[in-house]
Amino acid sequence: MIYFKNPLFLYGLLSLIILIIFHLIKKKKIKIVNFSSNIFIAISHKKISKRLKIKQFLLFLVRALFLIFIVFLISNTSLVKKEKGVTLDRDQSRVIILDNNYQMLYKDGDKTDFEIGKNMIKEFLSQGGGDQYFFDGKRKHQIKSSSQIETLLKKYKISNIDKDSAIKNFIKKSSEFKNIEIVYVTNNRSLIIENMRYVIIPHKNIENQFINSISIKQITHKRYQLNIKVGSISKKNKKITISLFNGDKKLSNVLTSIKPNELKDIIFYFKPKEDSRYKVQIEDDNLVYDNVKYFTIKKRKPSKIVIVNGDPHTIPYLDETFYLMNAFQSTPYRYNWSIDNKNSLSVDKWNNYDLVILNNNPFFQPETDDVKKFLKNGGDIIITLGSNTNLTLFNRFWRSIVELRNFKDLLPIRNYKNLTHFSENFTFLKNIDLNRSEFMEYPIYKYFNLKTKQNIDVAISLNDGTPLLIRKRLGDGELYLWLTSVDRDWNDLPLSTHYAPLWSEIVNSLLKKEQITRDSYFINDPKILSTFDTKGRDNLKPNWYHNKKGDIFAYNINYIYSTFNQGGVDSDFKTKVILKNDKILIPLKNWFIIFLIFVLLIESLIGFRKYFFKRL
Amino acid sequence: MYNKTGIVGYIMVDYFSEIDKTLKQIPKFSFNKTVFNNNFMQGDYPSKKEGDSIEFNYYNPYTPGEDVKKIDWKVYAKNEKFFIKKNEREINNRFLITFDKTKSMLFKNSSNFTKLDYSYIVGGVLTYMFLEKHDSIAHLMGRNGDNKPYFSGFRNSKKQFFPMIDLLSNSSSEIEISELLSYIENMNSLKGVTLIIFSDFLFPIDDILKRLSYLKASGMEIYLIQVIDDTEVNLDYRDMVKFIDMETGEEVITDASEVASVYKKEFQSHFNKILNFSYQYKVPVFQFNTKLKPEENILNILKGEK
Repeated sequence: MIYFKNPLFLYGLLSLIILIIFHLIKKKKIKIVNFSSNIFIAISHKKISKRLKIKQFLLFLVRALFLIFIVFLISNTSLVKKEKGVTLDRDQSRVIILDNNYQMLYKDGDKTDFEIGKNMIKEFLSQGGGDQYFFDGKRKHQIKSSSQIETLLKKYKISNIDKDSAIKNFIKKSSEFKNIEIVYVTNNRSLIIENMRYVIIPHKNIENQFINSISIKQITHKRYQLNIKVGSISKKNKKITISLFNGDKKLSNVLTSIKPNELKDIIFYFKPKEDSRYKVQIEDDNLVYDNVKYFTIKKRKPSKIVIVNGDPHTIPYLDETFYLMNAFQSTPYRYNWSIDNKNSLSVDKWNNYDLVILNNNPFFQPETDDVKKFLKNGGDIIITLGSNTNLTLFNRFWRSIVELRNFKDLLPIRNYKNLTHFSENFTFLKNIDLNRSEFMEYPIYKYFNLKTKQNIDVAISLNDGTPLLIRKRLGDGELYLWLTSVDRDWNDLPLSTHYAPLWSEIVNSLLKKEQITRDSYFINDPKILSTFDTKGRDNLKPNWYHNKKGDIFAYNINYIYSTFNQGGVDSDFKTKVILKNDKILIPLKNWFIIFLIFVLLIESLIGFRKYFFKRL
Repeated sequence: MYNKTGIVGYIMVDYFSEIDKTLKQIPKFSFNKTVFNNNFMQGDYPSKKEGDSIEFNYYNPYTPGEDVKKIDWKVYAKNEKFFIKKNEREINNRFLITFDKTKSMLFKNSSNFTKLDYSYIVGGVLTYMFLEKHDSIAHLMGRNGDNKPYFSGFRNSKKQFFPMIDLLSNSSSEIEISELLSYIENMNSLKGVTLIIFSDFLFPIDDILKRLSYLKASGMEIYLIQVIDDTEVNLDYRDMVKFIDMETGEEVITDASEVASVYKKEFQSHFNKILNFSYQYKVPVFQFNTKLKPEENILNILKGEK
């Protein structure tokens, strides 16, 4: 029996008709020549006519084979071999490994695949043979009696530990023992480990649903929305119950019907407790490993901010930091902020904070490399200038980090200017919509006139194009430079109602980036979901799962189901594959490639150049 | 002369201009140095006078262009037909040029001329060269009205050149070389006659060679000139070709490119037969490829190349 994975390509065999026509009809196109004497031609023709006929036939045969092999190659031809029952060679020493990944809990009838696998192992061992071993993921046990394997199998349980590497290591070691066969009993058809004999547990009727993804969104401070995408691989419409648990306590459930191949949204509203474990489950479904999702809702730790105050005053409105503190207190976000009035915070202590604000600082001379490291590791810095700034020190040091022109002649300019431009690249500026506010009408008396380079973003600029707020990215960190003072000495901006929101949005935009979480799911791993609405991948199809390292761990049931529908096991196993009561496909790809090369060789021998090119 | 002939339907060649062209390419001094000179039975210098010996030899029917003076009026009085009384020639240089005029000679592929045209041109050039030396020369080809080969009779006057060539082109239907040979065999006094045969010799040749050997033994000098088209040597066809024999109409369908190598061997072995004959009976054989210009082939002969 031959199985074609892409049978559509078999229409390519119709090209044989063209070949036959070419060989039969093309011959009839004969040039007629009046020749002086046919004596010698007749003699020569008699001599070669037999040879000619054989040659023509061979050419036809070779070309036909060429076409057939190519068609078979494209249509992915395999040889189907039916295997009834699993029989193992007698007198053969072997190590038996039973897959204990979660997908082994799949039920196709009364028993799970894990239980079927256990029974199969007992069956193998009862057949006898040479030395028999059982590998439990840690070490191999030599089996001497049937009661021994009973106890071993009783202890052997499902785990989500990545066993691939353990098996691979084991096989590496056991290759030292020659003539030992390794038998792997599994229902996972994607595992490819060389030098291993596979016993694959077959499935027939699959009517399951799976949880594709879950996401959670905060609506009010009390109310949260849990969005679950449920898919179906069943061929019929199914009614399923999806339940939400907190620990063992069922919070609520939804009864819904789902069509084949549908991906349905199911929504729960609830108030979650922080750090508590939740579970979403499709009930009454014999699918085990992808009909449960766990998640916990964890509180995000408040970000730590420090303001290094360069010019502390006892009178609040004279102190520049006063305005910044006002700004942070007005935000809905919770930040853990502190002020360093003594100007004593050295750079090596910056790593304790997420954001360092250097406000009107006289600029002690920190070490450049430490600051760069702080930025690259994700720390953020905001610098505001002022009357207290020691410009020579600032110039000397910051020039190495922020490449700005005109640094040499950096002096505050006294000039009346207004704000004109807010860059659209900064999302926080959109949130407060400064363009429509009265914020622009407040004058700026004094500022530093700098010209920026290309790799520096300008967020806010004055009406003559001079930048006022600039951003420099370095690694994961960002550095903002405010080129005027934050207090009322240099400008009237603090009088605006939008001043505090601007600063809070700047700070928020710097600290929010930490909250972006990864979106991939681990089997049965508790998924930590943030209470912020992250943009998850809606079209995440459950084709495969990852282990913790990010390697492909197991194909999902949908994939296995599709392979069964195709009538055989789609496998490019490099090792022997045996299925109980199932078909084995032996791919013939390599053979066809060898045949093709062989045919091409013959074609060239028969006169590939002379015939093929002239006639085609 | 310039009309289409009914045989194959090819436009006839202006022989005079072609002969003229060829003659211009051949240096005059070589006229006396032809290979044919070496085989003269007697004398180094040809006599200017023709067969005016007292001994009567034979009568020949009058052909237009011959000297009217030579007509035997007595015979005419008896038969009312013009006959020319031929006397045995005392001079030795008598050439008889025969042309194979079968259909196969009308083949051409790699040349502008058919093999027959080519033979006529070369034959014409030779005729002129011999007449220039005051040798007597005769043409034998085609058929007469009475179904006999046409024999022009020996001529030695330059005046006869034009009528002779004119007759070549007008000579009627085809004739096989064996018939020509039997005509020659019946001729009297063959001794001293140099026979030059133009043919492609692409037919079973054993019988002909045998008869030629007898002629040679009877005292004739024989020269064989095989006129062939280059295609006949190399069979430069590709793929499937239906070959129709121009003489017999026999058809052979074969892969020409495949057959070529065997064909070449067969062709060569056939030519080798003629060569063997040539060595055995000291009969010079020349192969004229129509791909070459006539003068090139003639000059090759003058140089002694076969």
